[in-house]
Parts: sequence; structure tokens; C-alpha cells
Amino acid sequence: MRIFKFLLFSTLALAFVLALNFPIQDYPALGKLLSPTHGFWQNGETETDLESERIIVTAIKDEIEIYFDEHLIPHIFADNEADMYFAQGYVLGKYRLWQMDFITRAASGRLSEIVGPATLDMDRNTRRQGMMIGAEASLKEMMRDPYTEEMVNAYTEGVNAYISSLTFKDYPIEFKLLGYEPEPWTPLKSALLLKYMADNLTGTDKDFENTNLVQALGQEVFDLLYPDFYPKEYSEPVISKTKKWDFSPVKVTKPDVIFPSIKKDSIIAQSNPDNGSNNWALSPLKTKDGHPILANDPHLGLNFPSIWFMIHLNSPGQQSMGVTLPGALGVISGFNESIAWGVTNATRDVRDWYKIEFKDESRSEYAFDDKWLKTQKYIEEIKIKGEESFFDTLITTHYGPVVYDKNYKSESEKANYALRWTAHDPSNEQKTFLMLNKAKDYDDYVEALSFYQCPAQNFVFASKSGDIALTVNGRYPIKWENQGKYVMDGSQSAFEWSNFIPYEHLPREKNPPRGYVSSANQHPHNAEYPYYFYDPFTSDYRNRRLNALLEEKERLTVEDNKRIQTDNYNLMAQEYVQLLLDSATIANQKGEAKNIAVALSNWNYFNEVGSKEASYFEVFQHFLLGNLWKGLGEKVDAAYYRPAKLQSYLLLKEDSTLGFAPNTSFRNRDALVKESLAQTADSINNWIAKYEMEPKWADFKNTSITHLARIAPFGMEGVNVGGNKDILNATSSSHGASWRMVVEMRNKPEAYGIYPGGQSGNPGSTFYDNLTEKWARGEYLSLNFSSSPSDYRLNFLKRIEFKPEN
Amino acid sequence: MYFLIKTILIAFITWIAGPTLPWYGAVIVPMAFFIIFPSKGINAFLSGFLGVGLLWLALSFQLNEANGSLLADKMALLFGFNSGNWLILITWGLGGIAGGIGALAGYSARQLVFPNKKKERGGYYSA
Repeated sequence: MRIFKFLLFSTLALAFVLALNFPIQDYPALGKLLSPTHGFWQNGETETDLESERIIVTAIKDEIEIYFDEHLIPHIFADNEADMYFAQGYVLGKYRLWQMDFITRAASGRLSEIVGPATLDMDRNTRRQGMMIGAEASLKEMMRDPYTEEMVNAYTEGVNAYISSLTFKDYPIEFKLLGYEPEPWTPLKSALLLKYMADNLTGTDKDFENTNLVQALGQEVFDLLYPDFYPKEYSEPVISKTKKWDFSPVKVTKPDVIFPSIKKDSIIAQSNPDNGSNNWALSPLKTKDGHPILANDPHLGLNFPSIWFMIHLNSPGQQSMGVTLPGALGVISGFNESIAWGVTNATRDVRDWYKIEFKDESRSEYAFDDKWLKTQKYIEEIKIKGEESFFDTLITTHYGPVVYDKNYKSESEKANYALRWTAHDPSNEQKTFLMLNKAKDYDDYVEALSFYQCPAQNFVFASKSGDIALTVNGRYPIKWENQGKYVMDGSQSAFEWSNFIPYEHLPREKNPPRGYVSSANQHPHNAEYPYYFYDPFTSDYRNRRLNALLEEKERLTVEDNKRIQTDNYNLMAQEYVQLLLDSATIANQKGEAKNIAVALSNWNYFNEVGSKEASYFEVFQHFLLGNLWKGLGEKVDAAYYRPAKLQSYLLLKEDSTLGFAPNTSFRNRDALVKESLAQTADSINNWIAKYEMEPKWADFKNTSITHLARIAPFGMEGVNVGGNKDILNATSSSHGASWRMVVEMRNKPEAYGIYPGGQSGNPGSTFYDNLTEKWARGEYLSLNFSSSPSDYRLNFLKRIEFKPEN
Repeated sequence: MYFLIKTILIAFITWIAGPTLPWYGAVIVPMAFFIIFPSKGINAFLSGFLGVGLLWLALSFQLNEANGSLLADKMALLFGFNSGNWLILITWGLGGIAGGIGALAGYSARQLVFPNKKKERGGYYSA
């Protein structure tokens, strides 16, 4: 009897512990999670988290002081550069550890390890695109440079000093929910972070779509629908359009080749082409108080934790402030005592596809001119939570990895395509940022940028001494006309990239006569630039609105610049509405459709939060362009994309009979408009009936900020904010200004910045999302910038002091 | 009387030792306690249940107050509740069961070696 009782109770106790110690299906281990001494209760931030700390570590040479201000922005003071980056690593680890882990996992195709089979395709996609090849090449390049190596190692030690201080109860909540542990940081992870950004910003192309389109439509129609450049009056390139190019370019000649004819419908998932940004700089002659002003707002997917983290780094010879990326060293967009800089994506096609012809089924050789070249094979083990590992064979060629083959999204055994992408090439982008953080003048800026390759960026610059500049900066292959616009034949060397645009020939300008430089992901230069340009993702509205606003006033103030960043003017709407909804057309409509047409024609074209017209236009353009290009999709009958919005407008303007629209079922423009307005009215009525409220723009758009791992309660819905894509305030439903900064380069720089989110990555902290509403209202934080620690000693939220051991 | 002291002791030891043990210290501490100290089965269960349960209730309540229920409210949504207070109740129950089961396991282990003496009719002492 006693034995029986013992067996019963001890088995019960053991079963209870086991049941609650391990995750069951999708549920996390409940005992671990709910225990108040170990579980999520420990993650809720309390007063004690703001207590000051004194930490003794071996990895540093001198003492380090960090003062966190009221916004939890760390002001780091170190006596040498390596200690400063140690502290940056520690602080980023402390506030963004899980995000750093998750992003670098995503970039290396290791999400399934912690998420399960749901992310297997994503992981295969990442690995097959050669993200790790790129990261390892970059790591090698970083480590070849002793300066970068020392700083990256110091940063790594900083992150790891934090990680090694943790026990289970301290792990960020996401680790506890997903049931895994943080692993040590490595320099490779810093390289992966930069590749993550490269993928974000250049990881998308239209080569297969173009190939399908040109075959279905013929070259003439294709060129009409997808031109390389716009007419002059609609073109507002990054570098002033009057710019003359006074160098003799490296020549490439177009070989006498025929592009392979293929048709492909299954295309890998790619980055969001809406990733873009605005930046500009005003010369002293263009500002009210005679100091240069620089502004930057990168547009990215809106996530919690925010992709950015505000930081202030001080060591002898460096006082830099701005935002950094979790995992990168230094400030990425910011300023120091002498200069300010910022980035926008410098869009240009740097991803090309080559059809690969294998010799036989072993796939160990592929044709190249009259030779057979050897492939390399890697077996990729993708670990999957709760399942057996998935093994994928990755074959690489001298172009790059064979992404599509018989095992992955290929239509046939013969359809093998290798990816040539500048993100695979060895480069040390990190060094550029290390040098910019310390740069004193234009020459330092030029030198720093010479190391930068991918993702190509428009680096805007302003210095206290009064210079402004902008460089369209990156590693760009020199292409002959149409090279890489379509899928190429990998068995002919004639299709290969031969050379890259020399650094000295990159489009750049310094102190142009117009008194400002600006970029917003548009064409980088005029059509006279002596190297062939192609990119299917240029932005065609923000640039024109931006330059119009910069030119509207003789001299601008900081406040003017903030207003420009948060400007909600919808230039696309203005052009479309004025073209399509004249009084005769309006008179032709009936009922609700007429009301909408009238409202649109009376609208001031601002996508403000309360505007109903903004919602009408969003729906109208959706139906209009869908209807206009419906026949195009039917005709191509494979992967394709629509002509750009500006080009669609220009074509509609040119030809009201719609002669340019393949297989269209509409007699003319009026019929198209009438149908689209009727659909708009229906759709808006349905929305009103469904949500029982007025279709005010912010409600209709429902801007949402999602948690990185899609843990719904850690995200935010219904942010009350205006704007949209193609508007300077480029905030759409899931995308937008991920950081806004305006810096006036006075004797002591005066800077304003904000981002949607907060400094802490902890959903249990008030600093997790505390800046979001301010950001939505278009307000800024005044950044507290001083090079003297004593200015922070009297008034800080928290202090961390590091002391070296002995 | 003894019952109350035992309950408080279990709560106290679990509280002090908890952070150095895995979460199932909430099972182990009452188990060890009733291997060492004699008790009646039902009393052991109740001491463990109340001792650890109330400790978990108090700790989660206090941490939640200090956090303004910011995290618990978000976590509650994950579990399909509308308020973090539900998680405090669940934590309480879970802690109670952990403590109670642990206590019973300890009590039954002790019984293998030192069985409780059968109460004698009209005896002068009890266990």
C-alpha cells in the first residue's frame, strides 16, 4: 500500500514537472513560462531595471560611463575606440538581444530551427540565394582590415559580456515563448546583419517577369510600357538634371547575342520594393540661419522591436549620434560635431539571372563557351523545430548559387537559374560607417564611401564648414543596353558582367548651384550619364514633390524640414484626378460614383488622417490600374508586373483610346473610369457597412506595426497616421518612415529625431513603443548632444559604469 | 499550529531557494521538506498547495503591480484572456498544484522508511 502510494505520487510529480517543462505542440513550456521566479513575470520591467549598475569586465582597457537619458538613449563615454564599441555591443545586447538573434537567423536561413516547418520555404529561399556566401565573403574582408577587425571583435565581446551575465529568468520574453536560448554573438552575425539589409534593399528584381513580358508583347510594346527613362518634365533625378559628365567612361560593347527564350511563372519570394527613403541637405545659402541642414528618413517595414536604436558614441576623436542597426557598429544615419550624413536606397539593378546548362544529371559541370566548368555542391542542413532536419543541395557556379533547379521552383529539369548579385561579393561596408562616424569634412566622407558596395545607397552629406554633397554610392556593374534586364544565357561569356563603374565615376555632386541635394529612390541621374542605367523600382513621385517643396521657399528653417518629412501631399492623386475627372466625365456618372468623383475633384490631395477622399482615391486607383492592366496579365499568362504608376498615367494621358493596353476590354478611357468609379463606390459602401464608421484615411489604411515574430499582442494596430507610399510621409499600412532625422549643423549641432517604437526591445517595458504616437503626430525628440559627460551626470535615468578587472 | 508553521516554512524556503533552482524547485522544495519532516498525508498536501500557491500568487501579484500589468496583459491575450489578472490566478493554481504534488511525493517517500504510527485509541500524543 505504501509502495503503491509512493509510486503514484512520485509518478504524478514527475509527470507534472515533465509536462510543464517542455513545449507541447504550439504551447510553450508552461511551468517555465508562468513560474514567477523564472518565467515571463521576470520580464516585466520595474523600477529596479532603471537602477544604476557598476560592472567589472576583463575585455576593456579603461573605464566606460554610459548615461541613459529620459528616452533611454545611451550616451556612451569611453577612453578609446575599442572600449566604445564594446559598450555599444553591450547596450544593444541588453536592449535588443532577441531581435539581433532573430534577424541574423533570418539572414542565415535558420528560422525553422526555432519556429518549425512554417518557415522552411523562407529558409530555403534565403540559403539558396546565397546569403551565407555573401556574409562569409564580407566577414573575410572585414577581418582582413586590422582596424575593422579590432572594433568588430570589441563589439562582439560587448554583446557576449551581456549574454554571459544572463540566466534563464533574464532571457528576453521571446526566447521563453519560442523555447530556445540565446547563442554567443560572432563577427559573422554582424556581417549577416549587413547582408540582411542588403537583401532588404536590393533583394528584388524583375528579370523573369521582363523575359515573360517581352516575349508575349514584343520589344516595341514592352519598351512603350516599361521605359528606362521618363520624359524630361516628369524626371527629377538624384543628381541635378542639368549635370554634365566630364569623364571618359569605361567602354562596354553590346555583344551580338540572343537572350534565351523562357517562360516562368513560379518566382521566389523577394523583398518589398517599397523599401525606400528620403534624404536631402541644404547649403548655408538655402537656410534661414545660414547653417547647413540635413534630413533623412529611411522607409522600411514597420516592426517592433524597431529596426533602429538611437545612440551617442564618444571616444577621443569621435562624438557621433544618431541611429544604429542592432548588430552593426557605429551610427548608420546621424551626425557628429563636424558633419551629418544619411542614406536612401540607391536603386539600380544589381541582381541578374543566368540560365545554367548542366552537362549531365550529376550536375557537377556546366557549359561555359566551349568548356565545361565545375560546380560546387553544399549540403545545407536546415534544422526544424519538432521535426527531422531538411537537407537541401546548394549548387554554386562562378556566377553565384543556382537558386532555381529541379528541387526548387523550377518548371523542368532543364530550367536551372543561377543568381549573380553584388551582395555576394566581398566588401567591408562596416568600415565606411566606422570612418563616417569620425569624419571631419568632405574629404573624409569621400574616403569613407570608397569602401562601400552593397546595398548601394545615396549618401547625403553636410558639414559644419558649409559643404553639402550627395553620392550615389555602391558597386554597380557596367552593363550594355538591356544586359540583365532579361534572364541571360549562362553558357555564353558574352552575357557576363565584365567590369564595375569606377568609384570616381559614380554620380555625385558637391555644393550644386541650386543650393540643395536630395534623393528619394528615383532615377540617379539624367539620361546623358555615360553608363547604362536600368531599374524597375524607381520612385517617381516623392522626388518631384520633395524638390518642389525645397524650391518653394528661398530659405528654410528646421521646422520647414520637419514639415517636409511629414508632408502628406499625394502628387499621384493630383495628376490622376486632374487627368481623369474633368467636369464632363463627372457629369457622366450617377449616384454614389458621382459623389465620389465630385469629392475627388474638390479634394486638396492631402492624405491627412481624417480625409475620406484619400480613401476614395486609394480604392479608385486600385480598381483603375487593375482594370487597365487586366488584359496584360491574361496575355502574358506567366509571372509579370504592371507598368509603373507614372508610366500608366503618361500612357493614359497620351492615348484616351487605350491602344497601348494589351487585350483591354474597355472601349476607351471614359469607360474605364466609369467602371472603376462604380467599383470604388461599391467597395467603399461595403467597408462602411462592415466597420460601421466613416472611411477616414487613418482608419481605412489601418497602419499596423507587427512584432518581428508575428506575436500579435506584441504589435500595434490602427496607428493614427496619414501619408502613403509615393507620398513624402511614406507611411502605408505596414511600411513607412522607420526613422526621421533633421540636423542643423550649428557650432554645436542641433538635431531632432524619432522613430515608431522605442529604445527597449522588451514588450514588458514602457520604452517598447513609447515613441510611436509622437511619431504618428509628426513630432520629434530633441536629441541631447554634448561631448562632455558632465552634461549628463546631473540628469539621467540610468547609469552603467564599466570597470576593467585590475 | 504545526500546520501553519510548516506552510510558512515551505513558502519561505521556496522563495529563498527558488531563484537558484529550476522552476520545478516549486515541486522539489516541498518534496524534500516532507521527506525530512513527518506529517499526515492530507496536511502535507495542503501545506505544499498553500505554501507554494500563495508564494506564487504573492510574487506574481507583486511583479505585476511593479510592471503596471503591461506585460501580463499582453501575455494574457496570447492565452486568450482579456486581462493579466487571469494569469495571476493561473500562476497561483499552478504553484499550488506543484507544491501539493511535491509534498505528497515527499510524504509518500518518507512513509516507505518511517511510516506514521497508527494513532492509538486514547493515546497521549499524535504525529
